[in-house]
Amino acid sequence: MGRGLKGFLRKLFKGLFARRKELNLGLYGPPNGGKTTLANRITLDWLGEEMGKTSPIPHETREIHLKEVVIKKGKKQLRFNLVDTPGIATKIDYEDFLKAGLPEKEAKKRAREATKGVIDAIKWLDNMDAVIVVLDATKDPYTQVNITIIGNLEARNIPILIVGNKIDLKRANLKKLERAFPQYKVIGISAKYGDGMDKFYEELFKLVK
Amino acid sequence: MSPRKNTIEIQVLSMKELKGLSHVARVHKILNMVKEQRILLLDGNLEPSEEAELIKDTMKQVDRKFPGIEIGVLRIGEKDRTIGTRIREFFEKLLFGHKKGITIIGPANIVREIKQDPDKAILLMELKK
Repeated sequence: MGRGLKGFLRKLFKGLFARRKELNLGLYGPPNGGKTTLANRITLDWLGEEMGKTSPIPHETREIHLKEVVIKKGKKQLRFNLVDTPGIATKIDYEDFLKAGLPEKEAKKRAREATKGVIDAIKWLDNMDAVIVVLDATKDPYTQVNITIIGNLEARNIPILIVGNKIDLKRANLKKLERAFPQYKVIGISAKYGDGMDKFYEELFKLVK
Repeated sequence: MSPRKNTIEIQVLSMKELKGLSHVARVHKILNMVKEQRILLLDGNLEPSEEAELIKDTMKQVDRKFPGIEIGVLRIGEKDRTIGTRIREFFEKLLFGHKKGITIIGPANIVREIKQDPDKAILLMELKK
């Protein structure tokens, strides 16, 4: 079945049976791309409070976090559930957490929880209405995890916005991200410092219109 | 049969071997081979849903000995595809059930990283003494 027809049927089914007014906006990506930092930036901007804890050690977010947010642009208003998801990875080695300085017991616990987090993040793809793919703009975008995430969103006809985060760092290369995913809108932000957020909110309105 | 100790086995697997299997069975077969410390080269691509299933199943099996997998896909002819190429690919996919390309999957305790870009894939392996 063609993607267009599948998308049409999906919308029709939702409209007829689901009667769901809530909009789930997911933050997806590999670990340490800055999903939670972006979630915190959004909730700080619009709710005045942070949403989750961040850490330089990967897999700090190991559970799905959800918060209702309302953003405004002129007379327009957008209400959605912001869904911060654990980073998707193909490997989780507890020894990496040991190297990052965690005690053994904590490293093992983190690894165990992180594997469950990856599974949950993938399962939650079916609940999303739109997704922001958060990628670290200083890193190589041509990874299979990135391609798998985007491929699965495409297959479900879920609108995608790609965000290249950490543009405050010298190594950031937004052009490379744009070349890797030419079929999508790619915008650069620094979730940590708030750079590029006006453009981000502007694109968010377009994404879920 | 698992590879001998201190050896690395690279197995080239035709997608025809996986044809007729359900998505779950395909993923199961691939993961079992990789868990036996083999690096697989498949002459095709998995569907995005199969890749997601592979990641989920991998996560369920992560333990001290098996930290997960590395996966990379070299998509042949992805760039500059003409309408004719796209039509041919459509029928190839219809007939053979997969897209053109090479998929590399290996255990993460051996394959440290797969660097990929549209034109090449580089396998970085950890050789333990």
